[in-house]
Amino acid sequence: MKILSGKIMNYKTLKIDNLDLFFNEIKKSGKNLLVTKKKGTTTYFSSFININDVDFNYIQTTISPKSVLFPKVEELISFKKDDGIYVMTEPNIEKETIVFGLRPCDAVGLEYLSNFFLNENSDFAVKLRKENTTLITLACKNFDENCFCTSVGLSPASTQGTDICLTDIGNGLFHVEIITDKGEKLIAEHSALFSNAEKINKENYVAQVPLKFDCDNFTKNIKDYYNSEKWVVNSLSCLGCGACAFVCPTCTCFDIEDETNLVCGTRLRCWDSCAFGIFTLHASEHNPKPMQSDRWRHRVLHKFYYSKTNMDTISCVGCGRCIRVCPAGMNILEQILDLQEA
Amino acid sequence: MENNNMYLPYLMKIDKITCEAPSIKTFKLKFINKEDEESFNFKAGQFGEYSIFGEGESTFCIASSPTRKGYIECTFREVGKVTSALANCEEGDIIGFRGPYGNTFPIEQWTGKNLIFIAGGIALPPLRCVIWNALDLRDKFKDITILYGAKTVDDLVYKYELEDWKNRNDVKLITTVDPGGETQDWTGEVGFVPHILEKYPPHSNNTIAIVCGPPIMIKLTMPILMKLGFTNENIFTTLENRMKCGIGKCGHCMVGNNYVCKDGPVYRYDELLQLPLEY
Amino acid sequence: MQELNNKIAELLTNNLVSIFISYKRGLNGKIKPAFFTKPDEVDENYFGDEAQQNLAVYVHKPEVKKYSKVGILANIFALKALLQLYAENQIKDNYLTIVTVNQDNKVIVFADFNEIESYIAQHQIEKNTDEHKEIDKLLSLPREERWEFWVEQLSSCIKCYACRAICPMCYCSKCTVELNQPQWISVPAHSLGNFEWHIMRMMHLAGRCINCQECSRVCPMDIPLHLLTTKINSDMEEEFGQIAGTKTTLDFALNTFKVDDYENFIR
Repeated sequence: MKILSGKIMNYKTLKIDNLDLFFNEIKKSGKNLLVTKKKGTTTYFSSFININDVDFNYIQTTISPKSVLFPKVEELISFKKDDGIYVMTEPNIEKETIVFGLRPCDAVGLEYLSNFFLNENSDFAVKLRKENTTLITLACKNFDENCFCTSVGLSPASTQGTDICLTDIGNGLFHVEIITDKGEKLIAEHSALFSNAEKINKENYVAQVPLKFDCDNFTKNIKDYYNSEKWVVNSLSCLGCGACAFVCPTCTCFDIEDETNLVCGTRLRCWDSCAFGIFTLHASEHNPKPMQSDRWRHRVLHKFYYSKTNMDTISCVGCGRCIRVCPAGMNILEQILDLQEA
Repeated sequence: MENNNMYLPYLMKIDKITCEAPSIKTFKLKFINKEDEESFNFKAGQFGEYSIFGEGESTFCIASSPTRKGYIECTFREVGKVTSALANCEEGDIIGFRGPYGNTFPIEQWTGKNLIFIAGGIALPPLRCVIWNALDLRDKFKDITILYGAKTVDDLVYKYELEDWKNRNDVKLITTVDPGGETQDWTGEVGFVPHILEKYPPHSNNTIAIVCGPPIMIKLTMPILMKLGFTNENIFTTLENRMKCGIGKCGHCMVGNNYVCKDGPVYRYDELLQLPLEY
Repeated sequence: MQELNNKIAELLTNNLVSIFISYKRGLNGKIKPAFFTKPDEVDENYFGDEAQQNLAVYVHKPEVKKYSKVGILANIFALKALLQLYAENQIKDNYLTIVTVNQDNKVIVFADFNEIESYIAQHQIEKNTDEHKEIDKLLSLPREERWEFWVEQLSSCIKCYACRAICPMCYCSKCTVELNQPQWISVPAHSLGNFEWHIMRMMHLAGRCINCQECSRVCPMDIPLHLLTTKINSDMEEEFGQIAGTKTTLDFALNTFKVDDYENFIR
């Protein structure tokens, strides 16, 4: 992953005790504020209600925050038959949203996702949502065995793709890095809560995630792996559900479905997954990717090869969600390491 | 529309419906909005997403030539949810159309060359646009040959146009049906398209071959063209794959790193050979 | 578990099976399904409390079926699932060699499904009283509140179909949701579509579900599907005296018609 050496505009500190005030001020200003909340053993993004619900110590949410740009269901157009002709209307996408507490890998994931939708045949909905969304990442102090951000060129200290980055530096303080104009604007609206600060060595305060594999080597050799038996061996447990694609911050595949009551209706866009058997099925019943191993191979090649040739970047951020959520123990790291084994 | 919503279709009125063959129909569509008609243009090879509001969208090539203004045509087989709803439409009904999408046949590079079009069954519609495009600019090309076959006489599409092409003296038309598909009064050839190609071998010198058909027909036709001296750079085809958005986003049509809807559907044969067999 | 490993290796060496489905520890330390095709791979075999996934789901997979002689390590839930599948004619004769390890750590290779039926009869699964308390609490709520509970739970569904994928009883080659003429169940994950999916799935499972609760375990959104499966199971037992996964012959109230049915609509 190309790391933009984005100039950091400003440094601040924020007292953790002031977060409640910050959140309430944002809420009062009418913006939609999403924070990370705990529910049983999982953490997920939800509207801020109470500071005591907010989870700062989670490793990773089960599902990515990509719904802020690309929701699981959305309306593309709606239509109504009026006097023999169809009248079409478009959805209203306006609400300003702040997402607090996502991890640095997710900010990069959302950046890839919006670049994918906005380049060539730019998507109007993603564009509007991106313009109205401000991201505040929380640098990781912890990781688990499924995290591999460092192997794909990222790190728990990365500021790529985010507007503001917070790092817990102890003594009840967050160190704040303001990366973009949007971030600067938000901080300025609540300037009383922030104090000026100097640059720090973030590495002292974030998790150190060990390298799992050599990504440059993998992407260089990946086109030679197409016919390997190892795709079949490693996908025997895959049952073809959509969990990995749906939790993934960079998966962008979708379906378009019409729904109507014969008087009016909508054309909806909803998440889809290349792992489903019918994803590539023709009406003639011909299926170019008939076996689950074909579909599994496509998923991995898309992340590490196809997006590299099409958009000059791999599209896996090493968040590890696909591994954690898989009902059947599928593991993309196991596949990569198996292929690299001579 | 100010939002530039790529999913907002043009409203089209069905001007004429032609029943081509069992389950196959051609629609002639006119734009409801005059400004849409005036600003719309496309090139041979491109396709669109045709929709019935409430049922969904379906992908068909634009089967009419870009040299003919004021309308577009599409030909489709009734095979699923949306095509069944389209097949139930009547002249005067309104449907949606999004397009034109995809790349085009590089017809301007074929000036001064011989052209041979080889098609099977429902695969003649994707070539019809470029055939008429070439015939409407007849002086630009040398010999034009059309080899078209279907399972039975009844399955041949564009029956009136086949008559038209047969009667032209600037086109060589060879039609064929599969063995057993002929009728009493059938005067065309009998045999699979690849066999008939061998029977009437085209010269490969200064010739472009444009091939479209079911996978089995392509598989058997390509070696014959190779034997006749055609190179991978002189053969073109157009692919079909499962499509939804038509603009390279939804991921359904991907073949390797290619989006057939955006990087295709027209492929030169050497480009096609670079891709994995996922179509 | 050396006795088990030896047995699996023996089955592979003697060609009684060409693939054996069991468990192993994955790269990240979690237990996952293993597919052994050679005896020397069996060193990786795991058996123990961490082995949760119901492996019966793999007997439908075309990539597994092509091995023609398949061995499988089945816990009690997998045994019930396999017995139910056998009763539903989904398992060809001589296709499977089914192995289990009982509470005394003894390895048992079943000769036929009658033996599995007896084994299941001797190893009844205790009712989970906490679950029944939760269900009773929901049932005691007024209808509107119970509705609101499920609207809230199901609105988070993302239609990933992990619940369908992991279920051994969901083996339809074309699921109802994949049919679009007509579109019986909405595809997008809006509230109505989610309700349609889960209600339809429970109705298709009633009388067949063996309550392994894998669907609930794998749901990324933590929807308490086990409350639904437990309820349909206890309803089928109360109303029809039927418990799925207990007989070699199909005894399925929801598709059985009796001439002396006390309802007269069918006569």
